[in-house]
Amino acid sequence: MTALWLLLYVAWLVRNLAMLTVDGRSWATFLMVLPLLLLPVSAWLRDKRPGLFHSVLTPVAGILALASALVLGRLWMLDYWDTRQVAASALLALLGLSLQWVMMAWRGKIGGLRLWLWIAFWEYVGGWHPALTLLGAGLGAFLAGLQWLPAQAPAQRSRHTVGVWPMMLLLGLVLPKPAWDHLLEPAWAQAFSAFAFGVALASIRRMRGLGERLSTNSLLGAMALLFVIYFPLHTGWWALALGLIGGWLWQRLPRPLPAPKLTAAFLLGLLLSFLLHANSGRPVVKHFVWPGGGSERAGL
Amino acid sequence: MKRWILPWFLALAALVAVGLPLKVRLDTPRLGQPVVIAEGHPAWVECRASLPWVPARWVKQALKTQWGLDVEGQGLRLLRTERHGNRYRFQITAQAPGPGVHRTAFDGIWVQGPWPSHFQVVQAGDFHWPGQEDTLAPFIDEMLVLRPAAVLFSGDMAYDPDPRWFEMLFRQFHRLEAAGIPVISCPGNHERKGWSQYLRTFGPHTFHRVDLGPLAILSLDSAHGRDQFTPSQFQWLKAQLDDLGGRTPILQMHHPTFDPGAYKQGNGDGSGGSLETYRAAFVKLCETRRVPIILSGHWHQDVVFDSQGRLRDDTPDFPGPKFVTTTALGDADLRQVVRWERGAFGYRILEFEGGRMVRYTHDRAGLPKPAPIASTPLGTHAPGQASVKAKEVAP
Repeated sequence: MTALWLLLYVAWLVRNLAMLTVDGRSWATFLMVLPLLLLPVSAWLRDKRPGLFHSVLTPVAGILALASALVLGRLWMLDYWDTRQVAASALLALLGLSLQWVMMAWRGKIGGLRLWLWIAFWEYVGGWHPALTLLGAGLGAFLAGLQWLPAQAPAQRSRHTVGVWPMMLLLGLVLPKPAWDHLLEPAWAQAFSAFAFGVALASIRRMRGLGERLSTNSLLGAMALLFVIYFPLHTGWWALALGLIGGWLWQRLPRPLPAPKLTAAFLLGLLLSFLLHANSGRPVVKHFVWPGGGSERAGL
Repeated sequence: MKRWILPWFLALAALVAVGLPLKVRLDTPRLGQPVVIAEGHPAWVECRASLPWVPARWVKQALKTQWGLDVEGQGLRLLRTERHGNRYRFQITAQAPGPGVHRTAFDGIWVQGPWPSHFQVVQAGDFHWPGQEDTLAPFIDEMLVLRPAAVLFSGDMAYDPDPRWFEMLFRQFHRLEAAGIPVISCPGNHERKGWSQYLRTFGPHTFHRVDLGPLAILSLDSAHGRDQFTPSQFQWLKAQLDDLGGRTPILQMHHPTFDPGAYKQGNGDGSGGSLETYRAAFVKLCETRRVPIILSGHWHQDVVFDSQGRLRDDTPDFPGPKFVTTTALGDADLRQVVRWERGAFGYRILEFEGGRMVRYTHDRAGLPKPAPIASTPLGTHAPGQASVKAKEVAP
């Protein structure tokens, strides 16, 4: 469920806010980021009052998540999100908070290959319209809240470990590149989907065995390399490679997954990525943010 | 595995719940992005449906009822249908009633007959702000007198996300189209403030190509992020320039290609923004693909650079691409970014002869003939008395 929260909600939010711009002083913006601000509170509640998360509140949160996602889907389908609208932001906040609640309730118990395929599907349909990715988040929360989403089979632990901050910061930095490149064109959705598919692939037994042979530092290095080596005409393959690397590293994260820490590191990576790509013409930066961005012969 | 049947069934049900009743969004043609049908060159209509993989006839019906576009009527003939997910494309053709470009029954779809040897295209950008004196309406009046083959708007058309502003733009642009003058536009940096409203009005393709007569008019989006291209847009541009089919390419984008460099006047009036990412490769591309002119705005001043980034205030006629910036149409904040005169509100007339650009500056008193750099001051071709005084400021 943590992966669903990170990919279908947090990454969606950052991408769309970066694309459609926001007014930092408006109530609508405050509502949009409210679920992120309240995440430490949810985590604290989960530790102090775990009973709350095993009560009727969790299925209610699931139902609210689906209802808000459906309303947003019908509201935005084929249209563009006006980020100044308070009502839409309130619905988005409701979806985020409900999803967060369910994620906290099922921390580490729902995941694995089939959940990543679920994420890959909803990222793909985000290319038909971005609102559909949110629908996948809402429906996922609904199914998990009602315990209709199958629990994860206990996975074999990796013998390697990776720090949350380097892994998630780097992932946040690299993953959105296709989104900053393709902007409104749906190729970004196919890339995000290929990434999730790559993570699913990495969890197959044979691929896990292959990944186990690689050290954490070499995987982090490969991921960092994908920041510089980016193929605008082959974003699907690029994202699949990132997914494989990301999947092998994901298996090495501490369990249960520390959702607030993961979110903070991923969010920081996403924001840093946006800042770097929005300033990709600046001296020095222009030589490594986009391939050939500073050169005379970029793909000529 | 069986336990995943319910989630996937509900996923399909949720998609249907959001997609019904079937809606379509017309993506091409849109305001500022017309399609032009020529003999032997059919055009594509593109739209998205709220449900994927539905029969094309449902989408055609929805286009007709929701957008008033009948791809098999209104003088149009459907040649081919393509479908990918929820994206539908219809290839259409039509017969031109005579020489030049003509509107069809649907706004945005034009049909082109034999093309005149001599014609003009006008470029303008950086409109007036809400509350300022309206210079757009008088400009349109002038265009109805001048009757160019097309009007290009190169960004900063909307400083206000208010839907009423976009309705005003629609009305004014429609006056041109009703008179048989297609409008071709690209976004600027200020459109980002009301981006969703811009996309609703102008459609989602922020860079596009319109083939008109002997020209391939390529409108680019230089303003996402900070004054830059992205790799995919750059690759798209390269692909278009490699597939011109004998047409003369004309490029427009909001940001000037070069920074003022050594020609900067004082502090450049705080408007030194220029293309940054892919600049070197872009200039090289324009040189190797023989692009005669790259039009821009943003600086609110007339400027012309050559491909070495030199200010060409000596002559309008020099070899290689001309990187041209045109003054504001109405933004009161006229600036002096480089050493050339501050100038007036205005627009630029490009003249073509046999498919070649032969003129892009405006001769005025006090300038050598032919004049370098200068655009046409607003009011020059006004019907009767000029409705807006050209605002001349001494250099």
